[in-house]
Amino acid sequence: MISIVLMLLSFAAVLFMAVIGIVIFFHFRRFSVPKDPLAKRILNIFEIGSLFIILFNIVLLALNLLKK
Amino acid sequence: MITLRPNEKIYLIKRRHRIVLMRSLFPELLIFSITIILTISLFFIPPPSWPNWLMNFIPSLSEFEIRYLLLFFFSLLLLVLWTIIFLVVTNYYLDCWIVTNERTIHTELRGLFSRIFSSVDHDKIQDITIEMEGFFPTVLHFGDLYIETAGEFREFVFRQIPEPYKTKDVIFKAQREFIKKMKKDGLL
Repeated sequence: MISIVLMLLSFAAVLFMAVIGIVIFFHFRRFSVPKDPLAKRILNIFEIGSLFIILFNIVLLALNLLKK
Repeated sequence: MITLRPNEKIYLIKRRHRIVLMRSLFPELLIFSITIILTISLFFIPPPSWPNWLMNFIPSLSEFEIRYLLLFFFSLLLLVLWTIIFLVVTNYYLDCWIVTNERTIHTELRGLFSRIFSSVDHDKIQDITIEMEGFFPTVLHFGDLYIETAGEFREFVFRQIPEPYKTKDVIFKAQREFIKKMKKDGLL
């Protein structure tokens, strides 16, 4: 039961991040100033950080399920 | 991307002062840093034991290791905080005022799915007023700049921008050039 709750929580958090991430990307594509290098850098930092935290979360979820 | 008119050149891009961003990011950054410190320290300190009241409440929790479960919840918190931090940064970064050789453009993110885009041609500008109120705006030289226009768009406000006096000079200079160009082209 707890395992299912953990998986659902993880899924909900990743989904939340994905939805907000898509909206952020859309806004940057649509409304940023032409040829703005800083906008690209901000998006890269967001993307790399998001991937890292999602991976960390998945690894911990797996550890929790395996170490039971 | 914001599309400019042909032959339109950007003179100046203004966003709110960085202190405004820092002020709105402070709570999120503080919780984010504390969570990171707790996450790292959980790897090194001996694992705590489950509290008795929690074990009585959910006995099946004993199957899990408290360290990994705590780390999992911290990672969830980090994920949500990271997203919120970037929402605040996006809101700050895409809320900008662009002064070009022909007009002043303002784009503002009012919410996740609400956006305002407005522009005023330089020939419509009647007057510019600057307001710097409070301790931080005075010390750090930021404030509001109001553009009064002749059109239906009565007032155009640059909020909490750094160096408003320099911005005012740039707008007036652009206005002079624009009016001169219009007169030369016979449009005014």
